[in-house]
Amino acid sequence: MQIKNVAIIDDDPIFVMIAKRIFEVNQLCDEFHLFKNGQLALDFILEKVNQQQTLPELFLLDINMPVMDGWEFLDALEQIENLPPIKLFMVTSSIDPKDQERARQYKLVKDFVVKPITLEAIQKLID
Amino acid sequence: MKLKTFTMQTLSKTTVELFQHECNIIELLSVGIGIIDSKGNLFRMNNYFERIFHRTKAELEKVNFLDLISDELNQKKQIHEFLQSGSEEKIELDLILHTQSSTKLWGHLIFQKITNLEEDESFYVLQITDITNLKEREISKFDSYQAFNFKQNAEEKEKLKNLIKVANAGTWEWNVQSGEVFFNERWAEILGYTLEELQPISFQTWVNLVHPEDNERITRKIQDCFDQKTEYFEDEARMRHKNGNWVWVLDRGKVIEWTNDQKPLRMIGAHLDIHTQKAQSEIHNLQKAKLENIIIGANYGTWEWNVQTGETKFNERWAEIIGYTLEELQPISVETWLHFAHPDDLIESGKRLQDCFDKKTEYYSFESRMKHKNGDWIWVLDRGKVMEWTEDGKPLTMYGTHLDITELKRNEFEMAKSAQQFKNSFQYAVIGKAIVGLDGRWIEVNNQIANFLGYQPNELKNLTFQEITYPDDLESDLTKLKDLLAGKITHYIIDKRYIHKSGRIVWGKLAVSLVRDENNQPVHFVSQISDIDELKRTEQELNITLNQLQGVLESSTHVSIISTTTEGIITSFNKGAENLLGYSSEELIGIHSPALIHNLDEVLKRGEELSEIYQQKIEGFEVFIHIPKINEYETKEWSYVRKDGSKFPVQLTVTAIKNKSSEIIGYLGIATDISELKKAEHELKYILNLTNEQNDRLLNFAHIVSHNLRSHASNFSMILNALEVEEEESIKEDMTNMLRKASNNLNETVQNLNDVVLINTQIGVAMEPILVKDCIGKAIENLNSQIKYEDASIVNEIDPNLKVYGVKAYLDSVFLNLISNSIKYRSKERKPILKISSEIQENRVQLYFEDNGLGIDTERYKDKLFGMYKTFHGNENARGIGLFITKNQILAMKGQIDVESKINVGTKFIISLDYAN
Repeated sequence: MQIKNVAIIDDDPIFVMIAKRIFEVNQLCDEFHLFKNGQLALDFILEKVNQQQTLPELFLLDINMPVMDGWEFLDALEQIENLPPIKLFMVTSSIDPKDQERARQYKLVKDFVVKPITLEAIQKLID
Repeated sequence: MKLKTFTMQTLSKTTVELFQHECNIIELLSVGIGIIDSKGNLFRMNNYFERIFHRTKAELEKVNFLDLISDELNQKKQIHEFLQSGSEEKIELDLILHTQSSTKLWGHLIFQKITNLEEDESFYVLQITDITNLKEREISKFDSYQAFNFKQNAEEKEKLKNLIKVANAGTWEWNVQSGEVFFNERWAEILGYTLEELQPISFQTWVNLVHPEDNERITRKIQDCFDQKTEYFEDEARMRHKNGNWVWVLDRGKVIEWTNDQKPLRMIGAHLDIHTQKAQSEIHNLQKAKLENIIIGANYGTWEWNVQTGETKFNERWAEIIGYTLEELQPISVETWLHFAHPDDLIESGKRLQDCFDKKTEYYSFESRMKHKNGDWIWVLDRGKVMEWTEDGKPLTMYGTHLDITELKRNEFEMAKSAQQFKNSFQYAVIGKAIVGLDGRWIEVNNQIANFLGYQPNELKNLTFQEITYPDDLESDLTKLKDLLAGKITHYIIDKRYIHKSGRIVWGKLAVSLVRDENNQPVHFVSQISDIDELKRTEQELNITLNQLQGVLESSTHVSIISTTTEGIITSFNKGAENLLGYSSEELIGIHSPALIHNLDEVLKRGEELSEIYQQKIEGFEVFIHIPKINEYETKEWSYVRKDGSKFPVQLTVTAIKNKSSEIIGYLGIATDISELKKAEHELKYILNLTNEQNDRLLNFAHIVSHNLRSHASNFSMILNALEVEEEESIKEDMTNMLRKASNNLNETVQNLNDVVLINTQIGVAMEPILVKDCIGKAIENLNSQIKYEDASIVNEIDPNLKVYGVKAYLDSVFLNLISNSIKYRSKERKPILKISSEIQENRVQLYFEDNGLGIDTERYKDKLFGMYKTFHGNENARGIGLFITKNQILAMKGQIDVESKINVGTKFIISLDYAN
């Protein structure tokens, strides 16, 4: 196992299932935290931070989601004081350059990955 | 009397209105003074005339003076010829006057031309004195006629005959006893007959012709002769002339034969036409007596001077005039006069006396100064005449009068002074002044008028104002003149055109007033004329320019031009303004300010803005002109309000109008109707918005297409890659199912996109009026099972007749979606209620869908709410397509959708659509 755990924040069940399978099959990670929208993920993180527990080593964040989308999630995350350093990637089917540019504004975002995601891409994220 | 003549001569006619003042003095003299023209019309006289003629002045002014005198003495012709001749000489004559009374009246008349009048017409001063008493005395002088010394010898008889002939007397002879009567031819002629016409002649002939009143008296006198109480009788008798008039004859008679018993046998007598008989020698006596009479009446001092001996007599009055008694002046000689006379006057008086002595003049007349006892110099009018001459033609006696004229002189000086002042103010006035006769003739003009009209003053005096008035302006001038004469107005001022001598037209401002005499009769006009030619021409040029400008602008019905005074009162209102605003210029000019055509709220608002900027209270008309006053003009958009209350937008430029001295004299507001422009602007904005919106939607659509299709494509790709490496069969199967699901999702997405494309390409689709309530009812029916399941209550408050313009299928879809959403996002905590209501706002209908559901954080989701594939509640079933489609459908129907919401309270969707009424 290269990493201990990964958080996938995406409302598309197909993407979540395949991505998870890629991690499992390639024994990259065996602990998954899956969130259907930003709000659920934020609640999880806040709780972890409050309890001073470790956060997942890797975050994959989609943009379009109900309740709280990717951008709102990032805005909320930036507001969290004493947030430990995290490794977060935007993973989206958008190829809109505006979205890429917007993503770059957030320091939390390590990179912008366009779906479909491949094993090679995931390995690269882990490294 | 001479003094008065003198005064009239020296005074210009312009001061004729002062005549009355003189007349008052003249009244004291018991002398009639009047003015007569060459035709004999009397038009000025003092009250003495009324006393003489027993008629009022008004009556006298209507008659010709020649009709007031008897022609018994054949003097009418003489007077007439004199008046016509224009002679500067003076004539004096005695004549019988026609009066209203029955008594015979003798008058002494003096006619003298008034010189110095720059008139075509000749005027004469007429002096008249009642000399009836004198005449009576004169008649007694017939004693001197030898003809009436009835001597009986033949020689005497012959002499008598001759004298009778000379005297041109009619004779009669009467046999008292037989009754036989003889007349000579002259007797008949005096009465206008021939002797033959009077046949048969008897005593009765005389009785028939003599005036009954006189008959009785004469008969009595004759009886006295018969009774030998008197030697002869003499009386004046009125005899009937053939022409019907009474003529006066002097009748004298004497009994020349007696019967033995001392009864009268024969009587002879003579008739003398007493008006035609005047012996020259008698005249002197007459005039002397006449003078005496006048002297007594008029308080004259008199003097008698024997030119040859130097013996001199004065009366008491002569002395009194210079403050002395006659006694104090003794001994009196010609030296006495020389002593009191002013040394400077002696040469002139000497000269005039010499003229009399040389018979160059009949009368001596001189206004001279004499030393009064109190040391002052007084003025006397000294008049005299040589009454007797020596056989060798030298003056023997001279009689004369002194009249104290000091007071008159002083008045005269003052009159002359005021006349001079008047003349100066007249002549040297800055503006043109004129005295204009009632007939329009220029009587006096000053240089200004002459210059203005291009004539010499004398040339002008031969013209009337009518002749040099521009024909078009004559009528109005004459109308005013009539009103002035009628006393309707006291004066008038008009701008009028005159014809300059050169033929060109000149503009003058004319002010006219009327001078009336003491009887309120018009005398003449006083006119003042100022040269306003340049002003008028400038004004005309300006008018032409303005008219041209106006003409250009009038042709446009969309340009309103309104000028105002500095206070804001409208002074002009052009055709364009009338067309645009619906008011006529008559309704507004001089009455209203432009506030009438402005929207009050706009003006108030602008006033507040300006007040804020300039830090002072700016309101009312000042709102429009505050900036033009500073910056010459201001252009701004306003609303104009038509007479019917409707409004339209204008672009108004307000300009300050300035005169040559840069003073603001008014404002000009030029406004163009920018309704079309505004409409175009609105349309442009609408189109721009539409384009922007369409661009946004297109972009959004592109984004949606790329994003959603890509997400499905990437899913396919990922699943297929995973399948390749997957070894577990169960997972492979799951993946195959996912592949199927992804395929379905892709289909659905393509379908949704297709729907949206359809809606958007159908913008402008034909819309029809749709009954809203029916349409909503149908949607409720379709959702019936869900409504029942959730126990929702739907209150449809829409008016059953309310119609909107829309596309039926879209409206069905919109209502279905909104109702279904309100149920889907109900609050679990309460029974769902959806209230549907409407409101009409102008031409739009607002539809409200108000529920008590979960609500949406509109602050957070405003931008996304109507976006594609946006879901908010984490609901599994939410597809994020309903409101997107709804919005597209509403926009396609030219409607709008908006939302108000509070979390956990409810959501209110507001749809606005065109009202189909």
